[in-house]
Amino acid sequence: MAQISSSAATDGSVAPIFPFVCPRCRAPVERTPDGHGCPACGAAYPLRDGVASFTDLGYFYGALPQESVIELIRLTAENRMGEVRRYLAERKVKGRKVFLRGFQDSFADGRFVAPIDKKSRVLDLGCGYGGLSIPLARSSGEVVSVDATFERVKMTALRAEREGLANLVPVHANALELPLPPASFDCVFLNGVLEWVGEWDHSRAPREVQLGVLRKANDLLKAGGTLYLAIENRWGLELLYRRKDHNKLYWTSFMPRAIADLLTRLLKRKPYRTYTYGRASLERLVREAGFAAVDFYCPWPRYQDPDAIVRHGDEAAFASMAKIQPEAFGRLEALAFQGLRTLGLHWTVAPAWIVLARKR
Amino acid sequence: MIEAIRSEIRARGAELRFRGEPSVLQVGGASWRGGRVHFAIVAPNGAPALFARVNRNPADAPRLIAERDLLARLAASAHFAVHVPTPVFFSEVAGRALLCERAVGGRRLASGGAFGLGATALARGLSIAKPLAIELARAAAEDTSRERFETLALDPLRAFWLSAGGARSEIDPLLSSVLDALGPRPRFVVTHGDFIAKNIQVERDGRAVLIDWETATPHGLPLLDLFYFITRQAYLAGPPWRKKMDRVRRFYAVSSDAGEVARRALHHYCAVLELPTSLVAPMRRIHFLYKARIKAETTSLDNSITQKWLELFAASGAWRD
Repeated sequence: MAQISSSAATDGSVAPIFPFVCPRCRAPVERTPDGHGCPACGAAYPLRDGVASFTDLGYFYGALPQESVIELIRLTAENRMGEVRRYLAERKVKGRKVFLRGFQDSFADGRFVAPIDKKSRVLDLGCGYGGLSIPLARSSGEVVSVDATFERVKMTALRAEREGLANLVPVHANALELPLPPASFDCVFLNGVLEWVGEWDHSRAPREVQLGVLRKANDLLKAGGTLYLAIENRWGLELLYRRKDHNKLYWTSFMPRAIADLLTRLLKRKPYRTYTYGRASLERLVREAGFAAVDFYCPWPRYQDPDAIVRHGDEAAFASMAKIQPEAFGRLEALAFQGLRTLGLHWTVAPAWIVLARKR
Repeated sequence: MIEAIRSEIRARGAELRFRGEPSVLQVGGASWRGGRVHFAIVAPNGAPALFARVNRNPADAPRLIAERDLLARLAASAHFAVHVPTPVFFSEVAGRALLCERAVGGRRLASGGAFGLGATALARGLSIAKPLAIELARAAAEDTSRERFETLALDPLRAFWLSAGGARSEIDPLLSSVLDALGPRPRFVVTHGDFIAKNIQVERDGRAVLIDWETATPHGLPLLDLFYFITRQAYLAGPPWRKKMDRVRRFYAVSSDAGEVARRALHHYCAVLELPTSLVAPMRRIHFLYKARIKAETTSLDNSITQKWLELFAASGAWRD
């Protein structure tokens, strides 16, 4: 079997060869002069701009417009990073704040919950512009960064190149048809991804699609490997008064799914498929996908760039958080959480979840 | 990491007087030089809480080790030991260096721009910050040769200015004037590097404790921390209709009561430490350059803030002393 040389870990602690498989027939693929080819089914997968690509270019997802992202990639490739912010600010590009946040190291602070070290091989599924992949690559053996939007993978690849992170493997692929062999990762990261996967496959109910992705993640993990899942809480307090649900409407996460769907169809002309969960139902979903030993952590005020992370149920840590890290709450929120704590509801309305689930 | 720290604390339970299951809480931190992540550790039996930190980037471990060494030096200083967090242990946890200290209680001297910029408000802040800056400059100070002082304290600033496209003719006379003012045996002082009200914690007994030593260096320059404090107040607490950099510019360039309070504090600092007051004017300029250098080292896409401090440094050459 010919294996594909995609990257080398900096300290050689992880096998430097990454063996892709054909997303269609699951047979190992071979390197060809212009990409990868499957000897079993004859499928060909091109190298696009130096990035291994296993899906078509038709899909683009992101807060920033595609033309802006292309321009930012050009600036990054020309090593003109200083101009990136200026470009976004001068044109007042919508979504720039979210994009820029991904360049702060604190963006990926949730990763400290996950058990990874210099020997770990890690998969960042839905890597975006590399906000999590880049810090992960600095502290793990090898990171495979996958996204279905080519521009996002390209930006991640450029950032890694700029930092000299040879242990990052950028892969342009669809999470539903991954070119990755089973049992090959110590940790799979689904950071702000699970809530969106329902939109990728309209042929099944959103929960079924989510379950499918979780099962796939389980399949990709080595025995004893860990899933890191970060997602907003369906019942998050902020959703009551400040933050919109993922469909950009207020309060729909609190509604029965059918009503939320009806409202989304009426106001947004699309179905409601961005499901989030409370703690118990998320745990059920994760266990159903084949995981055991599910631990919940609560990041405040969000899982990206968190001000604080507390283990679910650790009352002493929760009590300390308000004192030590007042930035985690607004003033009114602090009062509300104090009140909810007396009722025992403070965990129920936490803003988000970071779930660590061990493969059975 | 949370679980790894819990295991470490459990293993050290007796030594730390921790009984029962410790609670560990991850708290963020700004991305200075890639930054650190902090963990608060609370004991169920009421033993004093701890504060631990690791580098976000494992490759930055030597910085944490340097910080540990500097804090140990300061903790050994009779004058300054009460003003630094008490070190508890240094260890390796989950492949990362971890520095653990006793958590500092009390309240922040101020957060953000809680002080106004009136003379009274600035004087109130300086009544705590100035003695602290003086004590810090006394603690672990080290006499050295002119050559070594130039290499370790001044050359990095010169190199930064030149790398930013500045002219040698502008920086060399300025640094020479500092060296001349410090005499034949200049003295390194410990510089905190982020000496702002937010990093001064006032304990219940009134003792001021300086936290967040990430930017500290044992090879620092006198007056730098005090200027840093004053400038930060000017930056945050000036008139709201004025841009922040303009607030700083006006604070130093236009005479005011608050400016007079600052001038007296700076001169008093020099008098106590037996430094010539001729040092104040060049150090005012140099601290702008120092600010720019710190901003340039932050992990960020943005170099516009660095540029603004560099512009202020360049413009300050024409200000009156």
